[in-house]
Amino acid sequence: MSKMARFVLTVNGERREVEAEPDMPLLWVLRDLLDLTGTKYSCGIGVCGMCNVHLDGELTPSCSVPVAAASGREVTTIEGISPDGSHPVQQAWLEERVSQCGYCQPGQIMAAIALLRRNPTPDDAAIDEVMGGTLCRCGSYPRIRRAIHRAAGKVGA
Amino acid sequence: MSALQNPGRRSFMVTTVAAGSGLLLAFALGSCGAVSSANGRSGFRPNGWLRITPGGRIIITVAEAEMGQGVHTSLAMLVAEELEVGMEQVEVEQASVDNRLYGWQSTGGSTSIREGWEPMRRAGATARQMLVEAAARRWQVPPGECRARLGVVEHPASGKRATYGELASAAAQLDPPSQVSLKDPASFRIIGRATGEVEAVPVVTGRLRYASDLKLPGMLTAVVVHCPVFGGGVRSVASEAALRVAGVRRVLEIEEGVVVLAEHFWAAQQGARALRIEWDYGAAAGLDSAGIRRLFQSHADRFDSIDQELARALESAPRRLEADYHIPFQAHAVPESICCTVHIHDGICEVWVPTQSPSDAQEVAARLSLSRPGYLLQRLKGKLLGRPFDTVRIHTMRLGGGFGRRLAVDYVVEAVKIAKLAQAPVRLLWPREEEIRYGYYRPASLHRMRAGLDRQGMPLAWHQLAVGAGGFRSPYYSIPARGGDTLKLESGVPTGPWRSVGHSYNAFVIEGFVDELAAAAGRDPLDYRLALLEDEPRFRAVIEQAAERAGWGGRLPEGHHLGLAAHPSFGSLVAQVVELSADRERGIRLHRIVCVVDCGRVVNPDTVKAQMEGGIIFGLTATLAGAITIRNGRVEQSNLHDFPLLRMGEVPPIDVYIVPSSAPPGGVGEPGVPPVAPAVVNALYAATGKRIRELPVKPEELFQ
Ligand code: FES
Ligand code: FES
Repeated sequence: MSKMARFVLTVNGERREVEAEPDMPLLWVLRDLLDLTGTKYSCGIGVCGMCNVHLDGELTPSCSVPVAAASGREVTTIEGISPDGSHPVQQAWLEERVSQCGYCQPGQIMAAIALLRRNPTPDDAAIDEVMGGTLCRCGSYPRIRRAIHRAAGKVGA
Repeated sequence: MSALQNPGRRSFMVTTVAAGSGLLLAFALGSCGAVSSANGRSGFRPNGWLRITPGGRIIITVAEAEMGQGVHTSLAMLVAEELEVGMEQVEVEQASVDNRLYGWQSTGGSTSIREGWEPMRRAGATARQMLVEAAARRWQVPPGECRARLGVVEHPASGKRATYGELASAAAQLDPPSQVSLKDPASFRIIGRATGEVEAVPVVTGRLRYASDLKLPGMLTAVVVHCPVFGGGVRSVASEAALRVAGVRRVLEIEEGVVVLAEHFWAAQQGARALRIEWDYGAAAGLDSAGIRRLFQSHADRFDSIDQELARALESAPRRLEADYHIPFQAHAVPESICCTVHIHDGICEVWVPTQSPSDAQEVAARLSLSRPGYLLQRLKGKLLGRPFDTVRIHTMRLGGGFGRRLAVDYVVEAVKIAKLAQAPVRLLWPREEEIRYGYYRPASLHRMRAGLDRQGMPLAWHQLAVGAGGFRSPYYSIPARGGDTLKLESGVPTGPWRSVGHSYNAFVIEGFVDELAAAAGRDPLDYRLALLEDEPRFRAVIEQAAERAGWGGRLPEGHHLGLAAHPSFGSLVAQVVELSADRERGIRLHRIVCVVDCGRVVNPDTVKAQMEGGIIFGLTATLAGAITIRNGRVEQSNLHDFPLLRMGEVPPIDVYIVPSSAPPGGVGEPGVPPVAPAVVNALYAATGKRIRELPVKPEELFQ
């Protein structure tokens, strides 16, 4: 039954080869095959956004992308944003003290960066529209909003 | 400065591992039972450590689990304040479990800061005094002429200075002082100031490893399929299809269900989906939410053992009110699904687990990993030597959300059983569907509320009959005759603590019903409450400030309405006002929530605000978003699409105000949750005239 195949992806700028079933979600390729565990699993069905990555720059829940569909494309995960938290969005997150348990925050930051690239100074409605895709059980939403306003204008396209 | 007697030398222990290895100070948080410890200092049972290395690192080791409530940061602040170091100079380390050293470990009930407030500061002050003393001896000057600042001891007169690291080993040779001076709160530099989390950078870079992120060599991932009906079991399993899934290694049966072991989670989950299981559903197969509600109702109807005096007071009142309130089951939906990693090797059972109960985890891991005689022997040894279960090592990992779910250790039981059978390191990770369907839910319950009012509408008597829940709670309002009864009933659905525990429903029924009494009396809900709180100035002040900040009694935008609720819990007082509008066309729209909290002395105001915001959103989700319902003995919901959580745009601005106070610190992780549900329904009453007594709020019923 095995349909194992070889796939080549570019992850955080590096060429990575994996052997996997074509329908294995990108999320599990990242986490379990490539040991990039900053991308989190929570629902597995595309409703929580905690598994957010950028696929060719587009915000995408990685649990909903089969590896075959990511093959040959550019994947950016939270590990590819900055190693030390110096990206302006991460800085805003630190300054606003956003994180509680922290589990959703990689997904939130990936969503915020995607938002700010497209819309450098979003208003609250624009924030709600994009950030509504990523859940936080700890209720850090008010701070996420403040952090996005703080990072406004600091993210290049 | 206030001098504080160290209650005997016994409360601090200096341990030098080897000469020249720095200062290691042991201390005890909270109440500690007397034990005869191995070192012969009876009565002293340390559960925290402060270490200063010759290289100048300052490491605080604590037993408390970090789950987003900021406890590591707050405890470090207490030490750093008195030690006279900056927050950036301290590191916090999570203790691995050794009951001998840390006592029985559990994080819940918002107790960490309440128990740490004094001992943590005293630990910092003790170390500081010893370092100063060591410096004074080295320089042969009186200690009073030296001062400690930012990790350095100075002697201003001679210009001499030495870092804590340079002094640590010499300080370790000294006896801890019998008296320490704690700082006057007016001179606090750290306590009371907003301080960022000590582990924040690894969070925002994705580098922080949660338990479910760990990878051990040769590790397999386990997925358990539980019987969909509570209490049911496996009749037979056909596993051929599962075993054909690429990456699946084995299918096992344990008492809790069927286990698929695979090279990675995706394979395990695919394997689990391919299993053909015939279940023995057992006795609970007919259970449903409507039946549970009828059961509660019939017990409430038959209840007749109310206190006679209270019954008389209720019946003789000129006016009587009665109402039933219904509370549904709620799931925790912890963001990091249930997980636990176990490796049994070299006679040791090693467990990496995000848990609020590391000591329970250790106990069950020992029971399951050892043979029965081996377990009993270890337990006996533990009792005699104060060193239980040294064949089990628990690594308490940061929690991807707790909310009470991780007080139970069912997942540790499963993971150890599986690791034993698998003979390999095992990471157990539940698919979200199992987490939603196989939880320990906030109990459903019925509350029959009764009150008797005088001719002015003020309450003479109050009674709450709590059916199915953990217990009633007497209102804090001054009412001549008040009380309640509890009928604990097992519905057949597993229940457990859920953020703020019984307060989550008792606040709803008390504050909802008080609002009803005010309406019956024709009085303003704020004035009515204040009239019943004449003897509670501290609580009154919290409520008054919340009302004032929310513009109570003032002009509001067209169509906006306010609802108020207040509730004391875990040593803190909280009042909240919800501003909303509600109409048929546009449904319920929340505009703002004002929250005022008096939680005594504040260590980290930013944590207090964050916990209030988080608690409010948690409570709001249970008020508006969803609930767990039962049908055919099973949970009807399965994931976050049918057990929805509020999203960013659904949460209004939240303004939190902290009342300055010098009272002992109260908890903050839970007290923000209880008032929000009643504040919402009270605001909806103001907006629509419709009284909601059942959660979650169903807008379609509101506008019928
Ligand atoms: S895990 Fe991918 S959206 Fe929830
Ligand atoms: S910080 Fe815990 S889920 Fe968002």
